[in-house]
Amino acid sequence: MTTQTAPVSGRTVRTLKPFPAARNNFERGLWIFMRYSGIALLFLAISHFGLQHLLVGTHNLSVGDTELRWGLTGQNVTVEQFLWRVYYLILLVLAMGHGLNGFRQVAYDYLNQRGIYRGTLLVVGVLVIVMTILGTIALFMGATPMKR
Amino acid sequence: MWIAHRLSGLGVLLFLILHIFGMSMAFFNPPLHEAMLNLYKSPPFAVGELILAVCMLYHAINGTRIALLELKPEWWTQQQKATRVTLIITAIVTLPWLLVMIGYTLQGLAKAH
Repeated sequence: MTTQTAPVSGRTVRTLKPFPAARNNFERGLWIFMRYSGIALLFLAISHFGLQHLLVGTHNLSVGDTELRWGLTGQNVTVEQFLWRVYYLILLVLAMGHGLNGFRQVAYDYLNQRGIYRGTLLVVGVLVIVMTILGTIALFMGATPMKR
Repeated sequence: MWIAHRLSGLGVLLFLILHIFGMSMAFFNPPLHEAMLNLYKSPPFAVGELILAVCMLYHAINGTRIALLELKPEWWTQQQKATRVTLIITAIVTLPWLLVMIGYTLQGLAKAH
């Protein structure tokens, strides 16, 4: 568990295990996931970003757009709204997975104390997973009509 | 290059957490959802939107370079060239993109006054 290098003054000793070798199936699986999700996000995320920021424009956004695309809670969903939901669900899950694993890799390199690394990963991991679940629920429940 | 890839990735992740929270509120708390949409129209977020665009486009294009180089070991002697090409493509894509976004922001701010 502890590192073999002697403590150098002014530097913290890594209490993390050395980076797992490529034969580690978990790491290899995540490496492959990062490539495929990256390729998918290249199309999904850029199309979403282009649509919202180049075609719609942030300053033209309103609750009405969300209601149109997701549908309203408790009402029947059109084919178009269903396709929007599926598009956003794939985008949501892939982006969060890609982002969480990216965060894990960065945290692994900079947070050298095992407790701090694990604690930070736990906090960010829970945050990301809760957001993914909230987003999925909201997508498939639809927008709640506003009382005006 | 690699540090920019990491920083841009972390930046996009930070916005995504905020963004997904805001969008989820369309179901859980519509007034808060509307407040979040209006928040994006404020001047600090208009600047943040430009940073987000640069981060995302750079991360996407640089990520493509990383994946391509891993696929093609015979290109490993051309790393500097690959980096230059990445930066040039990022600049070509990002600059017009930013101009369009700045246009929307100025229009929006003009309408608000």
